[in-house]
Amino acid sequence: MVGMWLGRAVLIAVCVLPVAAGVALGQSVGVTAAVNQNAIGTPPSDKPRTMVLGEQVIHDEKIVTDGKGLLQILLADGTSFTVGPNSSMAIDSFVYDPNAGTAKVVATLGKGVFRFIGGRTSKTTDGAVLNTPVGTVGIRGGISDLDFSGHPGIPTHIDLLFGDGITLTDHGTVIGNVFNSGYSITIGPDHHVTIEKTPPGWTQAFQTYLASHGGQHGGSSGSAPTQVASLLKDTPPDTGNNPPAGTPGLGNPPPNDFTPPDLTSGNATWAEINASDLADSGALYSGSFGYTETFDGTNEGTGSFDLAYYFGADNGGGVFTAHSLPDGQGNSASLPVLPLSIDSQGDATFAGHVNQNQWAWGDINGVFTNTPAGVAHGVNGSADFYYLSPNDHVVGTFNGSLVGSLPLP
Amino acid sequence: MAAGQQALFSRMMADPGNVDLALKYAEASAQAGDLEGAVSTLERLLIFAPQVARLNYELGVLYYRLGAYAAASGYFTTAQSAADASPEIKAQAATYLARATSASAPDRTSASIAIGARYQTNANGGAGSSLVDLNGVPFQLNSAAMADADSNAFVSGVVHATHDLASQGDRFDIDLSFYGAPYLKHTEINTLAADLRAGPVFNLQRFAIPRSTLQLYGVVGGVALAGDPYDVSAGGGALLTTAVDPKTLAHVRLESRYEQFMDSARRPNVSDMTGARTRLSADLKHQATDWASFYGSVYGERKMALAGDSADWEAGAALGGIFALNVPALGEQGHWSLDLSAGILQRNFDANDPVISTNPRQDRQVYLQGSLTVPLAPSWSAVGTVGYQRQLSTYDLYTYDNVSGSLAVVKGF
Repeated sequence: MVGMWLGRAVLIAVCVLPVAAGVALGQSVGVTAAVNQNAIGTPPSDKPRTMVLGEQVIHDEKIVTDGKGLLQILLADGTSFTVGPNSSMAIDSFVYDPNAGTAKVVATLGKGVFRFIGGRTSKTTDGAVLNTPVGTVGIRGGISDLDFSGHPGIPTHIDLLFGDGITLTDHGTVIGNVFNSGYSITIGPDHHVTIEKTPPGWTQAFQTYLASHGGQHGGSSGSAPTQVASLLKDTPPDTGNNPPAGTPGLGNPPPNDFTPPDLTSGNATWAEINASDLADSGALYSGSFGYTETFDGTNEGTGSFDLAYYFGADNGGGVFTAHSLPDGQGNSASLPVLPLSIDSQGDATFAGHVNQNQWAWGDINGVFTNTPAGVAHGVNGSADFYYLSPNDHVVGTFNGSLVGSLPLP
Repeated sequence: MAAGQQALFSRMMADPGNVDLALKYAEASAQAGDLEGAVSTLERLLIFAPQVARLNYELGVLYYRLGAYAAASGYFTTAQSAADASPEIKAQAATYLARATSASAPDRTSASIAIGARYQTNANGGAGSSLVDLNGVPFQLNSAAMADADSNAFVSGVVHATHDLASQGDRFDIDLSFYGAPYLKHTEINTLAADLRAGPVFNLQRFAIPRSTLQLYGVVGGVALAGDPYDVSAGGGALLTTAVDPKTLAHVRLESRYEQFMDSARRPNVSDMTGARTRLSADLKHQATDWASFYGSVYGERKMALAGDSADWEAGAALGGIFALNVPALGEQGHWSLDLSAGILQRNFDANDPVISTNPRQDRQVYLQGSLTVPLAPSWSAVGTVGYQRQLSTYDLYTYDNVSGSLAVVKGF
């Protein structure tokens, strides 16, 4: 009976994914939905081949990426594996019964970084089983990052970004269990397993690992970026005021710009702000961020910043984001900021501090300024923070102006 | 998958480089509530087109909706810094970033306060008829015991504070609610009341019970009438919260508290009501459409008291619906919201009041209520409420009706 079921499910998978002629003897389990080179696949009993977009992935085919390689494998139930640089994996088995809505995938992950997004597999009991260098990982419903890369300063970890849970077993014994999104199973050098809240830096690092760099386009035509931008341009962005399960690109119109009153120049005071249209409102400032970076030497440069700030009688605060950081990839870092003495009569100053274990940590200080055009029309200050690693130290000053209003959170 | 979504998926599998198909599939997935399917597809498109601001922004929105705030923040910051980021995208991404930072903070506080005025045709809960039956003898009530209309101002508020505990998904919640109401004529019922609940909330996913929490809490409360202490109470409870599905939320609460009533010159015998009150209640709310949700609740309660004619069993039920009114002409601050509800309750006392009857008192009550919430500005709204309450009692003294109307301004924090 079990054999009959398996046979039917596999048949369905084969029908959905016709086996490519060159590897007709193999069993197709998925398709490459994006590929940055180099990514090499070696089917069982066959020669290695360069994986390209739209290629059938064969049962037990070993896939290896180099330092620039990246690919996404899409299975017929909607499950996807994104395989990062310097990684290796194979899909040992995949069965899918669309009528029953059940699926099961068993994969072997070697070294490297992977993002798993479950389709029907992770909604099926024991439907997602990943054999890894640190044990067997079971994923129940959701999205998981898995890092077996050995990157300096980052331990081996398995993160639950979203879903019901992850279980790590070693020879049948459960050694790690995460049941809340935002937590990780961390495996130390001595194979000591701990559960901890996922440091934002780990998730940020994954975004870097799983992105195209230097003109890569995932094997699509070079016009894909233009196509994507053009197709998305026709719909307004989702502003978050819709019901939770809304449609991408369908949202409310953006907030209206506001014009602050025309007051004196010089530094703004909290008293002036409290008496202006800025009180109990949100504002977006943008401008230049000049920095000195110490990372493999000392560099100087000019980037940009955004400050999203909400003025409130007792609870002002916001987020400072530095753009185009000199880390070689033009990344951004965000730091939360809070007001200082918002009810005082003195200058409207603010400061922010992020603790260790964040992906960016350090201090930021600034003051809102008046210009002839209006109170708090500008902002300037200084930032001193670390980005992704204690070896990447950024020190700089920022200077910008009010560019628009924000809806209150 | 829905049929349309499945058809798009099959075409996408056959042509994974087709950007148009992929975007349509992502949109269909998000519409169907399959946010993971949409995330997977947009992540693939991001490999094709890594620096498109809108793509990073939409992916950030999807992660934000899943509650994956760290991932969402990463994509929002990339969207902000992309070369093609419009001021609109930058501003919206900044808004989301601030929200994500707030939502993922280990300590979170929210509050709302309402200030308003109310008019009632029977503010004092007086008898509806001047002629009542006392042990078979007709009795003419004086005017002080009769229903009387009055107006009052009121202020009410709730404060909710949460601290995330180290264990997965567990937290410590503190909830404070308060109410104050000075009356125009009936100053003897000028009311001050407050309740404070505090306790740990445990994530039941550790027992493979998904999307559910259990809170164990202590509660203290107090009421003063016209400046006189009326009662103080203390006890504990348990609250089970479970998302039956993404659109249906249910609560089951068991709470018991000991109430100490205090006599005063104006109310010399209320200490007879001293005793434990235990209530088991359950409610369920279902978001049926984007514009309509429905709710229902039931409860049963046992009130102990020193005097048998103050002890009772009570049970009740209510049904209601909340409807979003999306009329652009009504304003740009968001949807108006109409809440309509109706309820019944039955109350049976243990013993008779010998002054009134040889039989224990029984009350039956029905009520109808409607309220309209009108957003005025971000975090500000106005709420107008009308209600009708009708109580029938085997004791004529407690048979009455009451029509009320109120208007309040609410500020959220």
